[in-house]
Amino acid sequence: MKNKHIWLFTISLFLGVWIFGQTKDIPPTLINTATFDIPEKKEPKTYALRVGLDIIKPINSQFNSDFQGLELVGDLRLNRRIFVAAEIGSEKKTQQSELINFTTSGSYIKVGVDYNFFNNWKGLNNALYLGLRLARSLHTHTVNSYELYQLDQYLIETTSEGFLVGEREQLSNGWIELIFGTKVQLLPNFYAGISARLNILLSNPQPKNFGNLYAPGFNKITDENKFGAGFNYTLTYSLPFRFRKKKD
Amino acid sequence: MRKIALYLFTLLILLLSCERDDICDLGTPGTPRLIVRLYDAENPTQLKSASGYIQEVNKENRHSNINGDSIAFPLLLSANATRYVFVIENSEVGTGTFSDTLQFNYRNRKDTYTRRACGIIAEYTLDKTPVTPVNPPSWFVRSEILIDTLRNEEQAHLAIYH
Repeated sequence: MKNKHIWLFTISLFLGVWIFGQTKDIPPTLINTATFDIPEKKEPKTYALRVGLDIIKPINSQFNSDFQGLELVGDLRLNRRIFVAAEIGSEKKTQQSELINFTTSGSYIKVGVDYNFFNNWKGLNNALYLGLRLARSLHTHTVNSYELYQLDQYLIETTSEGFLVGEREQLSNGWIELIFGTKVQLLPNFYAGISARLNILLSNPQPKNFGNLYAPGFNKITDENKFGAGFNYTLTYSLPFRFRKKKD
Repeated sequence: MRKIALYLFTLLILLLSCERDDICDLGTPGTPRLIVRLYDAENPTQLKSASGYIQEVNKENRHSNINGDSIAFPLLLSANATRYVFVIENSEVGTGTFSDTLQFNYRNRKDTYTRRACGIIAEYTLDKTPVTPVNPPSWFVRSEILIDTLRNEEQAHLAIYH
């Protein structure tokens, strides 16, 4: 009970400084999975498939008419350190960039691994992890309306049809995400998680006569800069399972 | 090793939160205004100054005062014509003013996206008859195209003889 409260507090704090107190330098050679395999040979290995969703996006969709989005998250526990993880999501976001109003709609997929460096007490499955993802989006931009950029502000008009208004061709961005996050068990098999993500663009195609100003999953794309940032706040349910041991 | 990675990661997050928003440099050319030079109708090679002001017909405030032989003003690019009232002091008589409403004609607006901070700018082409007086003119005599396609404001596009 007490543990739960401490963890909830930790999630809400999310301080980088706190992490340093918790980490010990483990030689990278120990990351080798073989070293961490549980020595008890009698018990079969327990895997766990954890699935859930990012709760920020549905909340945002509810209160913000310019945004609709959903992200499903999942990970597969291979051992206490290594998780195979993925996120898939879909977004439709209308926004104003300077004088241009545009809508981006599309979806994305992120696949990678998480490395849990938190040493749990026996029976607990909390995680403090670093992750890596390869991500790709598929999206289109639609220019809704705009004002021409002019230094003379005497005559201001909004163009909402014709000219550059309209949908552009589909684009696909690729990027890498470096993740730092935590997952905490709230109830048996229920987890809350938060992660911060640093995104690094690998490819940035531009649409005809417009800019690729935003990509679902990546967020804002700025000129002359390939970095982006994101975060998610997830609720997940874990399904532990074992493979039946083959008879020798 | 991992500690270093964490430090770097935290540092990057901090740097990202301080990210500067792109600002469109004031020197960046926007959608070009129409640049008009005023010439003497009786001596067409000579520039001739005028003083007064111009105002778009549907606006309640003046665009600018004219004082010299050069005027620059924007056009309504959602249409193919913009009307400005030219109120010019009558220098020869000494009192009174001319008030000519001139319609500027153009076509082929072409919009181009530049970049995030600056957005979209337009270029357009003056019609063969770039200026049509709405009422019989008292100050305006004739006009002549100097550059028909307005891409920038580096040179005058139109000459007005008065």
